Amino acid sequence: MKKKYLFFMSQVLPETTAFRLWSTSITRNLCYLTNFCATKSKDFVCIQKTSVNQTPHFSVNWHIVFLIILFCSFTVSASLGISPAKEEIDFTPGAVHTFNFIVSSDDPNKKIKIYFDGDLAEYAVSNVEDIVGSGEVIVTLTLPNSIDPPGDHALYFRAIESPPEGEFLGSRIDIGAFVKVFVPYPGHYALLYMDFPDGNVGEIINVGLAVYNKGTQPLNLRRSKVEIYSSQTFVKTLDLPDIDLSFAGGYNHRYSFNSSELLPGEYFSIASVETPEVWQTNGTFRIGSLFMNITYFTTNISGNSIQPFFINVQNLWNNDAKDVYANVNITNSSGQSVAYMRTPSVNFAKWEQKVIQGFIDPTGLKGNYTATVELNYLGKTTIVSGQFFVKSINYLLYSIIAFALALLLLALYYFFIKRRPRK
Amino acid sequence: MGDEKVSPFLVFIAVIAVAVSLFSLGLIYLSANTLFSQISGRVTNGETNLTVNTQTEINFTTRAIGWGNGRVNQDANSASLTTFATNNVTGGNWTLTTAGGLRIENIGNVNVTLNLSVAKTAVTFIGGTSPVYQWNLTNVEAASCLNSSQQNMSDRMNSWFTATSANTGNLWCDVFPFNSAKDTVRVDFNITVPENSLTGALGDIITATVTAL
Repeated sequence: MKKKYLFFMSQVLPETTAFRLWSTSITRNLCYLTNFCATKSKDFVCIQKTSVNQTPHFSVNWHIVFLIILFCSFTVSASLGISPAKEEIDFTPGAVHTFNFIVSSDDPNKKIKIYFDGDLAEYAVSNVEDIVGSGEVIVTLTLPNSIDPPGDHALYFRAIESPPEGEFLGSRIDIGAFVKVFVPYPGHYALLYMDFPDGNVGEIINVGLAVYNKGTQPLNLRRSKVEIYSSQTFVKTLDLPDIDLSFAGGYNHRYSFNSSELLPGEYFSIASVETPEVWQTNGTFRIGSLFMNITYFTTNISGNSIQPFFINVQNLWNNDAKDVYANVNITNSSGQSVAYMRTPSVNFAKWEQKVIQGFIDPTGLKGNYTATVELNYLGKTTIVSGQFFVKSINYLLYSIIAFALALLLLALYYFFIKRRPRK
Repeated sequence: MGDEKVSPFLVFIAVIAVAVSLFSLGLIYLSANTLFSQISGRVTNGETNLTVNTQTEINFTTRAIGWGNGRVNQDANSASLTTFATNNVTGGNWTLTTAGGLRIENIGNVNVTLNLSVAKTAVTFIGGTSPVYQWNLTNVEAASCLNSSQQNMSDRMNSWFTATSANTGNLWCDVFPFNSAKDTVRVDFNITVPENSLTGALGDIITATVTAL
């Protein structure tokens, strides 16, 4: 049946995509294959032509059709990757480093060329220059005796597909991983990273301070500390131990302290070490408490229909809060409740600000009232109250104005258009 | 009951039983103590070792576009070909094979830069009088193409740019994220084929240059 099918294709479609698909390598004719797969109707049209011009003795072998579709599913996409994506090393004069990169693609027949880029490309060689499909490439980087200027330098390890053939708009991938080489700064050079997480009052907070020696000289870290400030006011100092760092070395200070000494709020922290030069970094952190603040609620609505009522809430707790809802009570000057609503329950992430919405019916209300918002969360309540104004819409007044405008337009029309003297 | 005489033998047996019980209790205590000291403990420090390799990899989920065979209609000066789902051929009898443009997805686990370039100009690709070769980079998933500040690209997206082998025609993303919810972009094409264009099998190659960040 397959021979019969191919014979038919060769007779009927000598210059078309399908025949080239079967008569040549599939991988070299992805364009035609794609064309054929994507427009199965084309195949159908050709078959119809045959029924007119020739004796139709063709029947579709669905196994072959299935295989064609299967091939198409493999060839409409193309991927190329490199692992690892990045490597980082510190510069040592004359050092030789070896890296193993895995180049992977989804086509076992894909031709891939290996090359280097970046300012260190001239110092790198690979064990192969071309691979087919996927494979491992061993890269040897022989560093020179010196690199200027100090700082980051890069070697890009790149893999590029061979150009596709026979496609109208074909694509190829040129992908790169990199090796970052850090050249140390002359003398003392310390790089600090501080991790001061948010917490709640009374919790143990773990502060991290990483110090890296990015200079050519050893570092003797003395008087390492983290100072905590609240609105420019000094609050507390966390003293850290003395450490000696050799060339290219690093140390991660961990310090735990009980935040019960701090009040809820926002803080500013400055970490510093002396080598004897002073190196600093800073950051902010928050100390939370189980409190949700109402920052705004609706104070003004119109009183002729059910209206939305908005409450802006901020979670000042360094944990999530679930099932938060609010009761809103509107009272008159005598303290009598005239309207009431309860919002749906919503969840808050830690420190999240969100608007809770409910609906209140102010029918029959007009003028000034007092709104009391009671926010319920995690067994606690925040209550705020404020003035609440209900304005009524005077439909009679609006109707009169609309009627007057209509009369005015009619009068203008009559005097300026209707009574215009005819020439 | 109180008048009954207790047998000395039974008293002796009872004393022996109590003594054996106490001895057994001691043995159980010692055995359990030894056992617990061997199978339990308080962990003061632990360490896990797990390495996740970084991988830079992209995938052309649609890697080629073609319109098959065709020609400019006899009553038209030119034909317009696009990669849109509808109205993708005007003034000609071509048929678009795969609508939706080239689609590129970051399937690695690191952010990358993405630079798209073509190898030809409209003149060398299509030829004829006033050929048009344009392309347009858009998000398939929102926030897939970002600038260096991790904000949406505004200058090289969502507009038609002339595709040319000169670098001035390139499209790019400073950051092409790997987050599965925002890691796919598409490139559409707008091509005008004049009636006196080059003939035969035409083609150009789009190169996606990708580098790990």
